[in-house]
Amino acid sequence: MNGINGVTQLAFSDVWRVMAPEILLVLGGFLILVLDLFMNKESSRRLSPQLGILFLIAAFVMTIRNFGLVSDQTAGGTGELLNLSNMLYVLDDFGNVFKLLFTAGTALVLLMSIDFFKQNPEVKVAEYTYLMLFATTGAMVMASSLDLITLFVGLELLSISSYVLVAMRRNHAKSAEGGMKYLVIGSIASAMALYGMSFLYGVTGQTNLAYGAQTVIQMWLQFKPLLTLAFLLMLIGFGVKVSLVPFHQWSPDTYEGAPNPVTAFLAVVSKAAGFALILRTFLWGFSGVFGDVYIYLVILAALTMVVGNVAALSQKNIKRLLAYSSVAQAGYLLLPLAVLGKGKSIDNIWLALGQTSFYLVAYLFMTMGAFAVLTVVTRQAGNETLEAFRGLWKRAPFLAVSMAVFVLSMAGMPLTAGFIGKFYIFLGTINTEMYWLGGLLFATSAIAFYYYFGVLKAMFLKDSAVQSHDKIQVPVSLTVTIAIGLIGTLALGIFPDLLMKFLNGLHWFGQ
Amino acid sequence: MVSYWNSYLFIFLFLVLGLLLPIGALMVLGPLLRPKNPTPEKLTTYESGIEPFGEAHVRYNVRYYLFALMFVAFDVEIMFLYPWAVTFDSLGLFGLVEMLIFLGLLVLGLVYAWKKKVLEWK
Repeated sequence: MNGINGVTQLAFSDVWRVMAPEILLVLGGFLILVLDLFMNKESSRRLSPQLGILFLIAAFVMTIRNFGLVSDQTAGGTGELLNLSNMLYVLDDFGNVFKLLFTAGTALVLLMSIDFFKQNPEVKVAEYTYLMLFATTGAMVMASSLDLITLFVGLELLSISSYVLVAMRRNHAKSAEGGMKYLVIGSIASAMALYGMSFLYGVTGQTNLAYGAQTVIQMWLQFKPLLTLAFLLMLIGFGVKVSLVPFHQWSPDTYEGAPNPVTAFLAVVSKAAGFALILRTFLWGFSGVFGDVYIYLVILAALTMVVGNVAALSQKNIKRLLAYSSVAQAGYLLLPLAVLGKGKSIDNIWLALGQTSFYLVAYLFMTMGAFAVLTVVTRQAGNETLEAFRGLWKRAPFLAVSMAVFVLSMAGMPLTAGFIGKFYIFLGTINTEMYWLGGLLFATSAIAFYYYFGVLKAMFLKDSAVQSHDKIQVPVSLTVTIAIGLIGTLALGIFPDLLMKFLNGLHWFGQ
Repeated sequence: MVSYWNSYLFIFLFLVLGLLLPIGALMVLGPLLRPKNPTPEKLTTYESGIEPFGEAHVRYNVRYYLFALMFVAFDVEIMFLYPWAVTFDSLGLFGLVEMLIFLGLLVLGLVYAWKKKVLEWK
């Protein structure tokens, strides 16, 4: 490779065009860091989340501006992928879709955090905010990089920031426990992924996925066991990040211990980033031999759907319930990729990416909304069990109805975004003739209805344990979050074409 | 294919040798060759010729680690600066600005540590 020549061809304008959202977020993070260091007034420090949201919105807009830059031949483009340093970092619609998800998700998380800071004055607001921004930057790098080393740096940037964020409430035992477990298991996962990457490098001699993919095809017959080992190690490493069964053990404890906004961040942004990484690595690096390795993905997806949903049945703590539900969602999200092993045509890949992205967007809305409602309700009740939701319909109808919508959407009730998302994934399994996986998707969703129904029953059918008729005070920031979640979930459920048309028109990986 | 696995054979050989050498030297040959005459003086822990005192498990002040972390950050910086300096001519203005950004971020780290009173030893 002509490394140095590749570097000299770069101009500042190229870097800015390809990495504008990331640069903005890093600058924002450092600005908040510097302000935090040199400002003495605590009250002005309290404004950091708002500043962070501003930067996230700016990054969101920059990402939208980047859409369609890839193959815009009609507008005078070359039709080639915009990239830095010889395909080290690319700008394609796949990355853009995920970047929109990350920035929107983190903005909602920061919005929820404003209330969290009010309740927990001991938490360092500025540190929390810039760690969020850096974590989001890491996620964006994971979605856009094509080089194993850069991908790993992005993964670590996201992970290390998340470890700290989970343990942000220092004098809170559960928070520390969750953070510690996440740190230990997450580090092992990173090591596994890195080990797998090193095998891939050992065989192909390159860290770049775009070029390495060619070598993988050539070497496949010779080094099948070694390459499969590399694939499996990477799958284990990434599987921990998105909590696939049997690598999900950390998630209930960590979700329970982390502050609510951070839990929402882990469930949505961190998980979406993990999927971006999985799709990027396996669809590029192993594209030529995907038919030989997809079976492991199928097994993990099936296991995840079954175990996640069955384990959720016996949960009494609402956050643990949502944690197991998020494990199950990871199984659904892996399905579109897993079924690509059969019938992997370029059209099918586009469809699978569309299905995953649609479900992730739906998942973003319903999870953010659910966590916002949960924050209000559990605080008022003083505990995090399902009991806290008893009689919510009588105490706060708006909260009860919103929670019902979110929960039904997670279960997959028609007219909600979750149903449409699951339905598209189901169609994908039928399309590639993996009928039993489609059947399993249905069966496990039926189990899911049972435990989600427990939440509904508590809210609508039971009376409140304490006869308090105090009105529940919902802070403005949380009301906005709930409203956004509600509108998103219902709008995508009733008019899925709004998003589906857009996703279907994308050139995900360029041509 | 075969030659590729052959290169692992060498690693295996080194592993076997690495295990056999110390075992052979310390457990087989050593007892055979050395005179055995232990005195209480000889059985004490060797501590550079002075009388051993205290315990082996000493607690360090946690500040040492903070200093060590700071040191590592700037040590690694030198590692990046060196190849950059070697190829400085071919990198041009872009490389210069790139490195200034990198240094700027590291200086920010130093400022952070300074402001958080890491550098004060009390």
